Amino acid sequence: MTPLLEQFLSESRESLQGIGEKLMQLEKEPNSSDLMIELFRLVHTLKGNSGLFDMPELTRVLHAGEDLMDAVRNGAVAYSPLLADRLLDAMDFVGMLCDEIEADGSIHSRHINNSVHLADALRQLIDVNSAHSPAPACIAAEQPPASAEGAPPTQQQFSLDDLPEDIRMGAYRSAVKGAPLHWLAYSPDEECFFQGDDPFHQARQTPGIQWGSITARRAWPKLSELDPYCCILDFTVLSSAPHDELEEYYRYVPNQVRIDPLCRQLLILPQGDPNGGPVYEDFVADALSLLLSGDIAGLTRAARSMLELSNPDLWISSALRWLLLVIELEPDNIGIQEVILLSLRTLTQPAWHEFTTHGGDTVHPVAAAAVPCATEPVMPEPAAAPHGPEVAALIAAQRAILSLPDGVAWLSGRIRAAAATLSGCLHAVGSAAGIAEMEASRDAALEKGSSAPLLSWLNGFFEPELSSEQTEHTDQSDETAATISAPQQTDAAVKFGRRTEDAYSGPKSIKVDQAKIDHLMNLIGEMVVAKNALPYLAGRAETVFGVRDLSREIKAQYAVINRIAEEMQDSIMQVRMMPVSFVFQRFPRLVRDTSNKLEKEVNLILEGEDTEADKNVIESLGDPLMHIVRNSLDHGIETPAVRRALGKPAAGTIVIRATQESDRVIIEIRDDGKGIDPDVIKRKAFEKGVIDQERLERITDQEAVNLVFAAGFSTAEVVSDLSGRGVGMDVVRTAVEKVNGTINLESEKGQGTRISLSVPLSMAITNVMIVESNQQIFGIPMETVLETVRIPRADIHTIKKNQTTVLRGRIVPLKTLNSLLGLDVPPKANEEDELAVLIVNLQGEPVGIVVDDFRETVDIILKPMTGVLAGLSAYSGSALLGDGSVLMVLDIKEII
Amino acid sequence: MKRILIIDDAATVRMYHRSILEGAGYQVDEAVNGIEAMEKSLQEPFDLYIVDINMPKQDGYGFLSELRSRDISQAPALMVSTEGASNDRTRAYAAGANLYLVKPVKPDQLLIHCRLLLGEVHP
Amino acid sequence: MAITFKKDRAVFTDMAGGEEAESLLEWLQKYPKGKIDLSECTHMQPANLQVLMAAKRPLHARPKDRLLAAWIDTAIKSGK
Repeated sequence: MTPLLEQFLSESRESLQGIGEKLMQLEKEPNSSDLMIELFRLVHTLKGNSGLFDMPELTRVLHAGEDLMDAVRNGAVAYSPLLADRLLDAMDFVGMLCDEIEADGSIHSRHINNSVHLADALRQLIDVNSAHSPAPACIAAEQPPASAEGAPPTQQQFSLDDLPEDIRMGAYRSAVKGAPLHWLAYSPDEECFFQGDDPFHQARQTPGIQWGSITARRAWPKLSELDPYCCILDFTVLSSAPHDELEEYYRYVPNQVRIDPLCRQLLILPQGDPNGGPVYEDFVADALSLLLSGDIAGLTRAARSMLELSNPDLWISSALRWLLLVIELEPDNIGIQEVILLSLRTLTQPAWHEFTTHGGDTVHPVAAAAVPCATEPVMPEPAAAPHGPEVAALIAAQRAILSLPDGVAWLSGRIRAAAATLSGCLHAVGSAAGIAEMEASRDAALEKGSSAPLLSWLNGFFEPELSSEQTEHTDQSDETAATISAPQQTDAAVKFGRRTEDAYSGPKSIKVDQAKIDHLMNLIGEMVVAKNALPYLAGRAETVFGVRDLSREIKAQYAVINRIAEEMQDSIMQVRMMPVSFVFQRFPRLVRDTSNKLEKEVNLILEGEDTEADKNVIESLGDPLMHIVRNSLDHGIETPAVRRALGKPAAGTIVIRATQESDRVIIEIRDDGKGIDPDVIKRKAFEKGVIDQERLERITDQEAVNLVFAAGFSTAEVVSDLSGRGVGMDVVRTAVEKVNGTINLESEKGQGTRISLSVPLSMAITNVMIVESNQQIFGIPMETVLETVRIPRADIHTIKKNQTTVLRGRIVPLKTLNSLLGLDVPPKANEEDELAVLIVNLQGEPVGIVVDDFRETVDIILKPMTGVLAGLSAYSGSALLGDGSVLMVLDIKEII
Repeated sequence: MKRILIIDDAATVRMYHRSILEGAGYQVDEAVNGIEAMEKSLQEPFDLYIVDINMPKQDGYGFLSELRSRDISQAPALMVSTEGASNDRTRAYAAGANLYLVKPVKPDQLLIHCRLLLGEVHP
Repeated sequence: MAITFKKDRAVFTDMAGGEEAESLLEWLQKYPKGKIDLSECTHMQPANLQVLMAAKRPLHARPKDRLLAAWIDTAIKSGK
């Protein structure tokens, strides 16, 4: 016994035990979807494993069990004790077979009957259940009746012989000219009418449509029991559009559509009255000898005169029409012509179809003589290109990948991986010449955030071949690969033949784990702090040790180290920089989908996408921006009808623009929607108690619209499911403030809304002002500090127990830092009896904080509070200073 | 030596793939689900991933899309599954796979595709 | 309304919308011998088509729109 078989047996026993346990648990909780999913997985794994060995008896039962559990998992079949019984029986049987394999190394053929019987018993449960679930239930889970051996289900509601001959001939004609040929089966969801879909319209508009048909999935009930709004129609379409185009057209319903490439020979299906028996032997013999001797003109004549003599409705006439068509289009394709002629002997249809669906083993003797494409004399032998089908399949797969919609977060990863795969292909076939060009296209694709540039390179380098998709599909069955991938091989061989010895060019960029960059960042942070100790040391050299020269030298060295440290810090910051396109790229799709859903027309304009900021900052912008844009779509932009009535263009515009202003990034989201009505906001804010009567009377419109950022404020009367179920703009504000950003809103009623976010380029270094109070020092982030002033004690007035002062004609409330921190110590004044007041910006309002004295500003690496200190909301973090002391940085918003 | 990670919850399948790949001289590592695969990739990315779809904790789609979105590896990924429906293929491609093969994959097929994906010239 | 119901026939014009399927169904039940005239029909929301297919009533007049007629033919044929 091989180790692999041993492994299989031991894993199977584990799985069987697991299945038994899960079934028992399911008896107790028959509705547990977790258990069902787990049960499905166990059976699925077991079946997958058995497929590695030649054990059809085992696989058959497990496959049936897998399909049953899949139906249970999807809710199409309800769990029942009977189901558990049958599944347990089946698993006992599997266990017994495992014992037999262990003892004898194989399974005795006498088990076939039991295996079939058990598999049928399991499948019955799927069928019985679906037959019992009546139409009104509208259960969408249409399990295709998968055949027991796992052959791909090529279930076609309409077979090709249902197509009128002229349609098939037309399609054949265009296929010979190089057009693709696809057989498309579209089974719309039963509930689709309720979503406003018209699948009939969708099917009718299929690109490249040659012919289409409609069938019902089930027998029709009596009219009195018919639910016309439960869609049970299946559509079948013959199309000459490329696979990509069809996939794109049906991209919203990919799981309801099956697209199969069609070998054009399958269209050659003579039809008509066979008219008795085979009486055409003489004609066939003559025609065959003409064909083999290469006398095409003679063959054409013979066929034409035979056709004239025959009633056009006869089978032979149809076959002759096909023969003449093939002679006209492909005079060299003797293989096909021969098969058509031979079929006249038996008056049975050429077995193309049977051949391709079942692989090579059940071929009709006539068809075997002419394997459809491979025997075409113009085609090279598959051996000519050792990697032909595999390379073609890989290229086709990358083409399919790059043709997928771009809107995923991992798009750049996907593009890189496709590029790596293409590079692998090029290397493997010795065509390194294309690599540099391919990599340039990849970089362009990454920069644009779209697969298109790489796809167009791919299409230019390897021309899209009509059979490429066919080839891709054949990687699941080797037997059919030879029949339909042959044309592709020619192409691949020719393309790759163009080899040049291109110098290997090394990659221009390297990928580094983010953890490594973070570590570097921490190190430079420590470096900055350590370097700051030098001026302190210089001071001590002079004052404590009295060596002035040494002090000067330390200062000179400090200047050098300081410069290097700053440059290092800058460089590391640069590494962490990312373009805002990282967050912008999701908006085109969002706006498109959402506006469709809302039946609005919206143009989205993105500007300044290559503006860069620190990775953390960029990432933190994603959710707030998403929220703002959704709000604009949802509440801002009006419907086209309303807009027209207002004299605005039917389509609204949303502009998202990023710009850099010194060390901050400004992101502006502007729409030309209905804007915000300050009066509504004022009234709402007052009703909700956000502002009091006094404030209501004197609040400006600009201040009012900014109230939407106040906690718990939501203006929409009805919460839509788009803008986040009542989570208002306060969440946006909080998220922006978390990265030390600020947010501002301007709106003009009827004209639109403009929101601008200002965030720092980087969060790593914070500039703080050090202040002194009660013999302690504290840091205050500079972005909150408006100015520092010294105010004579006499200018401080007390209004209703609150201290205030007048600054440039405006009343500014004053708070002392000591009292904010709970210290009962009055602030100290200087010799002129002036108090040091720090004016800070508190949500747009100036507030004065009275401290004992100001000190210098420093750049620090802010470390968040950890452990038990994390609960102290008064501090946003701490930092080490050059002299080794710790500076606590205040969170002004929290303490006031 | 090229490193390949096999991600499959079925030990038998892992062993099957491992024996084929090691026989051809590759360095092979295994993971039983997407989470473990991610941990291993974070330590050191692999040159090629062979990924099953249906696995507990994190399935193949989830693993690949995370691998791609976190930009941990741009190495090609080969998705293998017993499920053969065409929408699985599309889902696999969308998630970040570069080829989709249906299990069981014959040894020569597995090797040819791995060599191609790794850019190695066939002997 | 794109379907006009008379005593002996239901006449389709232009595009029949999904909301008309209910009345079509009622009419077909009420007039088991009623005829279907699709000659002026250009499209029908498939709920209508389902009603026609389930009713298995022969068409009195096929659509003049050749492409639509070809589709409808397959649908009616498959129901038999």
